[in-house]
Amino acid sequence: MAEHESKAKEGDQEERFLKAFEEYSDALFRHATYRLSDRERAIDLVHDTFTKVWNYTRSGHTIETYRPFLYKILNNLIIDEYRKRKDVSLDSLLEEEGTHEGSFDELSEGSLEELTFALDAQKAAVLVAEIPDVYREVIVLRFIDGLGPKEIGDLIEKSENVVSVRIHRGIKMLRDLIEAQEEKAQTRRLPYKK
Amino acid sequence: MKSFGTELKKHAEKTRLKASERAELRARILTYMEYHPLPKKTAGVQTKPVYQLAYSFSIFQQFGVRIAASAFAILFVVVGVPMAAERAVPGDILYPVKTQITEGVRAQFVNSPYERIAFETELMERRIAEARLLEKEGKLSDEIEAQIAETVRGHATAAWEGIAELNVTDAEEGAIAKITFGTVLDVQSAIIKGEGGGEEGKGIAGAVSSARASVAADSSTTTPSYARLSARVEQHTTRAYELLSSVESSATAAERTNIERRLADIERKIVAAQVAHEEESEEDVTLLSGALADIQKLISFMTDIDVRANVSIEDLVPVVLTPEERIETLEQQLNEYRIETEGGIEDMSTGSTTVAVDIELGIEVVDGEEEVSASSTDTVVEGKDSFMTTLQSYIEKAKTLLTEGKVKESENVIGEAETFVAMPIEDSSEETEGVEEDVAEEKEAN
Repeated sequence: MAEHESKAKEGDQEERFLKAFEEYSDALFRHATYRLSDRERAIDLVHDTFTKVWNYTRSGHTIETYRPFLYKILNNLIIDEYRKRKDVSLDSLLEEEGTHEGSFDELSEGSLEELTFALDAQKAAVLVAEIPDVYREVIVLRFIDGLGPKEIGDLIEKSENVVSVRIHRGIKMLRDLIEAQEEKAQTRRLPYKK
Repeated sequence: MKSFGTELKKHAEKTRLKASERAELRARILTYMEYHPLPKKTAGVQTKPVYQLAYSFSIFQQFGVRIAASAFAILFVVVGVPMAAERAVPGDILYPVKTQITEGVRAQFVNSPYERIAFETELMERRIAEARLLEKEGKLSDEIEAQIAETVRGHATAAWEGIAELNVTDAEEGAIAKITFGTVLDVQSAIIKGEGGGEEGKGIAGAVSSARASVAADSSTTTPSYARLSARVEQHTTRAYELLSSVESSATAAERTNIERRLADIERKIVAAQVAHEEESEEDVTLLSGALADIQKLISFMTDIDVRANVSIEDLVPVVLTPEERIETLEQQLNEYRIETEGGIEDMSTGSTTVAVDIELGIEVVDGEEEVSASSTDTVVEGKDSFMTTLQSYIEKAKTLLTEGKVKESENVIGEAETFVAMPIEDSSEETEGVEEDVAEEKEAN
């Protein structure tokens, strides 16, 4: 009898795990692709995320909610991936944040709606790869994965305030990049204007 | 106008896994799940691999994996499972695949009795290695060790029975197999000793030592022919040189020197055996058997990580000094004596020691009790001189013989000189005491 129950439980765990795969593999892949700008590597990391989660289940743990757990693992793997890439130093990226990232001043400069007003999403989606990963991380989580600031805070182990500041700065950077790009394009067109 | 967030999300949603990528990823994950299943609650009962496969297919059906994924899985089962199983240890889900399927298939390809013995010996080594692996991971319980020991005994017995069978059909080949099997057991026993050894007579250590005992107790007197033994030695030597060249880049300079030195020693043994064979001496086979055992031990040292981790090369295959090196040692000893004599006669032993030295040298003892009891410095010098002169003459004789190419004779002389130098001091002191007592008694009598 006990064996039947245990088998049923096992079956249940497998089913839930595979359901999570069906449900989140695309979103995780998207997240990884935006963070790494490398499609193949993104697939590998999604694979590693699921195998890690499966191993966690094998060690006797039960996962109540898959989504935050999957994102957490994938995020850790992405950070590891950055560490492996010699040309990008994570420390230097972290240094860029400075020490005053909890400041409310930046938040009071304008709401997110104001900040993102008339911002070209299509261009932003491309240029998001250009901004430092600390900002890219939150922008992708917020706008592409659709996570709330609290969820993001839990995931990256930062306060909601830090998350909001990072989103603001990230958006500003995107805006600056878009503007710079537009200016450049305009300058290029100028010589032909009479 | 849609918000930036909605727009961005909408745009990003175009980035998704292609159907083929998704199917492949799912197949990879399912395969991973298959080989890393959830732990079974019924501990101790090993799941049959057949059940394991059926179980995995049910998952496949349940989630409708496409043909590509199935092909991938089949390929994995045919190639991947046995490969993955090779690393399995007792208690692993794939262990039965390793012992029953992979090794079972290999057993089908064993043709000659010699191959069968080699195969059983290899299985015995594999089981011991698995136990070692489990021990390293702290998973080797007494119960598992007892089970493995039983299997080790089984393979050892099978190998030994194979040798007995071979002895009937081809006694010479049987004798060679016995040397090989004996060497493997020696190496395993050395590793066990190197690891701190198991309990004597118990577990795997017990299984190995009882197998060694049966080899040692074997009374069959058949010796392999020089020609066959020579062929086998040649085969193994070639392999050893190949192995050496393959590890050329990874081994340290010291490791290479150590191995090259042993190979040179073995080569000398082979040459000595050739000389003995030409002279029709029976020593040829003994020397070659020794060379075969050494070369096998050396191969295990180069190929088996457990051997390298637990046994020093010197313990496994000790350096055999060349006649030149032995002469050099003798010369060093002679020099030491010379320095001692010249350095301080006062510090030297008494005259009675001189007598002892002279007695052992077989040199005419300094005449008379007066000389002895006087313990004069002159006598000491005289005794030391005789000792050094004799040693010097031994050395010169050995050198001359060596230059004349009479290696064996030279080695005999070196042997004599070594015995002469190594005369135990206790013995001489006993004799010294004896002489002293005699002298005292005589004095009293006078």
